[in-house]
Amino acid sequence: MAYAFLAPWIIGLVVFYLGPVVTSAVLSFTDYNIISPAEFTGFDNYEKMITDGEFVQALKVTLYYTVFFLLMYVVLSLFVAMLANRPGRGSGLFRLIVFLPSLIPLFAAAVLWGWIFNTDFGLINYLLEEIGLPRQGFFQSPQQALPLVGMLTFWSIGSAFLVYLSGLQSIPIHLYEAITVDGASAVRRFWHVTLPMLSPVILFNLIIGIVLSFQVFDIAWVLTDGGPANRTLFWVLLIFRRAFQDFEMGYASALSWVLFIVVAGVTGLIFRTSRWWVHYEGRSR
Amino acid sequence: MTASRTTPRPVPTGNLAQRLQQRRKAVWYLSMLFIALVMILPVYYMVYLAFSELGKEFVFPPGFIPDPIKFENVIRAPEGTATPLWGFAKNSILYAGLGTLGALVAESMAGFALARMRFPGRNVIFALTVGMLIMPFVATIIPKFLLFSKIGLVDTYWALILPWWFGGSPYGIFLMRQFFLTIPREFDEAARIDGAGPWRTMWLVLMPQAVPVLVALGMLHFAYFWNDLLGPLVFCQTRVCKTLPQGILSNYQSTWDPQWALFMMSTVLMVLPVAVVFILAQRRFKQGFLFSGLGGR
Repeated sequence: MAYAFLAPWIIGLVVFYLGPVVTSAVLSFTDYNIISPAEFTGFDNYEKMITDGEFVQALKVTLYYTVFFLLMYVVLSLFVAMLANRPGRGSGLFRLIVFLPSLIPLFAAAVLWGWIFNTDFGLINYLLEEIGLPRQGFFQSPQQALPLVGMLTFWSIGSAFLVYLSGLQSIPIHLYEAITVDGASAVRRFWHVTLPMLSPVILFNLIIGIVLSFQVFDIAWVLTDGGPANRTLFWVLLIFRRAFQDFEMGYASALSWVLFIVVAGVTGLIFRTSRWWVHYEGRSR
Repeated sequence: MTASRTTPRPVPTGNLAQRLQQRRKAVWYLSMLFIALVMILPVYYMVYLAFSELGKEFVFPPGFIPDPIKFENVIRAPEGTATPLWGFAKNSILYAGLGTLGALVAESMAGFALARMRFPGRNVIFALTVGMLIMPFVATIIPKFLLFSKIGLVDTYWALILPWWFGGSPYGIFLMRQFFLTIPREFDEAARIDGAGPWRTMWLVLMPQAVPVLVALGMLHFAYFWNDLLGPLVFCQTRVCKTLPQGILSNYQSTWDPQWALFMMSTVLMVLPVAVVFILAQRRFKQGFLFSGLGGR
């Protein structure tokens, strides 16, 4: 009977998750361009990957971006949520304003940022010039493009912010009262109550953040096209190009399989370490 | 040891305490104001561009409101610069609507089974579900594409919608399971005594209580499908099933002189319905039910 309820998911699990993982593992050992049948080539694709300068670049770019993104999505959003959590006039509106940019589709945000930071007639360069500073290359500058893309993720912290907010609201007030009576400062309250009580939520945002950051695609596809000088060549953009523009399905499968392994490895590692720093209130785990 | 050492740090009294309190409050308000401005300015600029006159979008210095305000952009934008957007909008509504609906049904069923029923293999299926939470969408996209092109579903809506009908997302299943666990089993018992099987128990007794969760989860799904670019790019390359993001992008990429005001107006119009629903439901978000039971269970 239970299987009737689970039937759609079991089919989906096999056909759209487990099957594809196995298939792409098999495909990654072949040379396959859809038109002619797949040809077994052993570890060629993996050897190619190591020597493929673009892959190494994509790996670097994606890891660099991940650090930026996690800083925004996991760390900064916590402080924004703590600001919003204090009851007071305007905090409802504040929550709304913080969440609002997350609703804008990434492709549209990418175009908007492209205009605001346009080298020739963008708003920011206009303002810089007004106050007597030199114009910047921004998305056209190999040095600035990726850090800029990373910083702009601040506008997409909405969902992490909401998760933190609900986490903060479920911390019992008596814990704060107890520690305040003892004369603890705000910093100590943060370290001894907020952080431990929130640690399961931080773990959740960290895991989701990692999965999200390895999948960044829209902004590179719409705005930078991986450039300048491949400085925003994200992993997923590389997979997309190899698979759906060059039809190198075998090589692209190897790329996506390694992506899966890396994400699984990193999140697995975090879960492993989580028992040292995640505090579960009165529950064994 | 003297008494004064063991007593807590003296709490500032009277005037000093008040002044401290006020200063803290001022810092708090100022930081909120700063972050709110940082968050809202790009959104404001987007709306500003959307109402600007064509060709005058980037006249500097910009005023606080566009001059003149072009309300007619609201009507002109959906006409598109090359292709009208209505067809794309229909496809987006189909993808987001049917995708959300199917995902919610499948996620509820799977969540119910995992929360309420005992059967061999339950732990394995639950572990797999949690494991799939971290599966990047792109990791499975190539085999999915090959599968759908084999059975002729590429360039139809079904390639986009079908995967969501088979179980929805692991995240949704996990969320529904957690939610069903919070409902006391007495409800199930009472329904069983009244002669209801698990199917009726789920739909008639538990699902009505799940409406807030379903609304929240449904909105997350809808917004994801509505804004999705990679999925449609891979599975839909023909007019029949291209969605709004593709339609808006191709409009502005296909003309020699991109009409920025109209592009921005198109995206504003695209965001508007989703934003309105989110704003109306904001109070529910505040309750934090969405992630209740996240900790440690």
